[in-house]
Amino acid sequence: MQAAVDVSALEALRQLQRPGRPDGVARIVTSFLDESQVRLDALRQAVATGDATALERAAHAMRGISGTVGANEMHDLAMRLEQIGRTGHTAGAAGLVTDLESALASARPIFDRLRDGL
Amino acid sequence: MRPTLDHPQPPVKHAPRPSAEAAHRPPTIIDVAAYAGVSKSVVSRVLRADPAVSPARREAVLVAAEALGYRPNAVARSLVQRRTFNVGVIVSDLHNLFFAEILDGIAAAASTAGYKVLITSGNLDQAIESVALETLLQLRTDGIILAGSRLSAAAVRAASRSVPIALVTSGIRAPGVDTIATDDVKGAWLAVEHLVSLGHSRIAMVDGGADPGSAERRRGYGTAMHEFGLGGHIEIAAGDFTEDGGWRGARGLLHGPTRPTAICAANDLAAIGALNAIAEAGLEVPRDVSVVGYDNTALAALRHVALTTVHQPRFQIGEMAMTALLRRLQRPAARSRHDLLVPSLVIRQTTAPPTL
Repeated sequence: MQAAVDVSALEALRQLQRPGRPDGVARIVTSFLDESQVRLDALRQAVATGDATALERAAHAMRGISGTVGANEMHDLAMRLEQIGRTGHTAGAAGLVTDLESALASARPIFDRLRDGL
Repeated sequence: MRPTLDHPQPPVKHAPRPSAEAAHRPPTIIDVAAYAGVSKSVVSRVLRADPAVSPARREAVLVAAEALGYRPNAVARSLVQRRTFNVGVIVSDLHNLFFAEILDGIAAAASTAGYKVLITSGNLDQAIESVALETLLQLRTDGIILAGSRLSAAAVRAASRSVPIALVTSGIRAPGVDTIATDDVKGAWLAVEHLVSLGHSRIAMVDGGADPGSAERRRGYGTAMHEFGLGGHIEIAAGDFTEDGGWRGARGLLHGPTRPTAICAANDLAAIGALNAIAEAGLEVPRDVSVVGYDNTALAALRHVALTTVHQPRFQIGEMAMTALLRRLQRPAARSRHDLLVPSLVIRQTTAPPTL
């Protein structure tokens, strides 16, 4: 079973960076955390309004960025939300959005440490 | 393929370390995708500046590409997209700052559109320019801008059948060929009007010869002289768009039977030549002879030159030429467009009322 968060790829990327250059991994993590919040807001809004298209779109974006940084649990939840949205309904999405929020809250300290180079 | 319910896109698999073999070859788009945790197509979209890619993923691709030292394979890209993303520019004279400033405008617009610019010079010689044109055609540039071209209309027409052509400061008209120029008739008229307003009547012109724009400037000069009742004073000396041409033309005028009190030069370079000829004749500018240039290049603005001149919006001309090419690439069959920009006069220190 894969870990909820796997930052080994980002750590490998950090090792590739040339000394003296700005920390690109910190930029990726910052961007991911900022964008996750925006996508979560969009997911909540989509569930509240019953907008399946918006749900699918926001979930698709969330799945993409989660996969990029190795946030596996978030990735899987987003994929399930995307599948729900694609059915044209939002039934069952609210709980998954809550789970997604929790997954982000759990992952955040790991990404914060990674961003800060700790 | 867009993922479906039955075929959801699998989580992106990272490849944190390249193989030993990979370490000895240039990084590829696949390496970047693996390190960035995205698909190859996302890398491709980021490199094309596709705004639909999310910021976090774009950041990941850019960081991975930089860390790996990845350079997009331009040849492969051109094969796929059937474009080289190069445009060629032939300027008639690299020594003339007028063209340098036009190139700035072209380069800026090209860069914004993701194009590279290949620059070459016709060296004020039709044969050399023909070779330069052939070279750019062989390099499969996506379009060519000819600035101050000396090529024949037939040569331009022939080239335009292979690749979009935009002409800067050219009187040539050909189907599907767009042109950008300044209203040179008006520009020369402004120069004469300024000199007349200062009280000059013996206003001569150093001509640009057969170079593009010369005929229009000649016409503007003649029209203005007639309009201000000075038709009897029209005097045009042979010259060209070089410093030497201006020097020769002015020298002839200064040693003629009736020395002019003002000279309109074919361009700024020719005006510099005229200034030299005036100094060599022991005369002073503007006390004895006023001089007006044309183009308003950086040369004219130099403090110790301070040339009164006709301004052409060179950067804008360059931008418009590149825009015309891009437009033509989108719509090859569109009707030719001929943009004419309005010149203005910049008064500095080489003009003054004539000494009575």
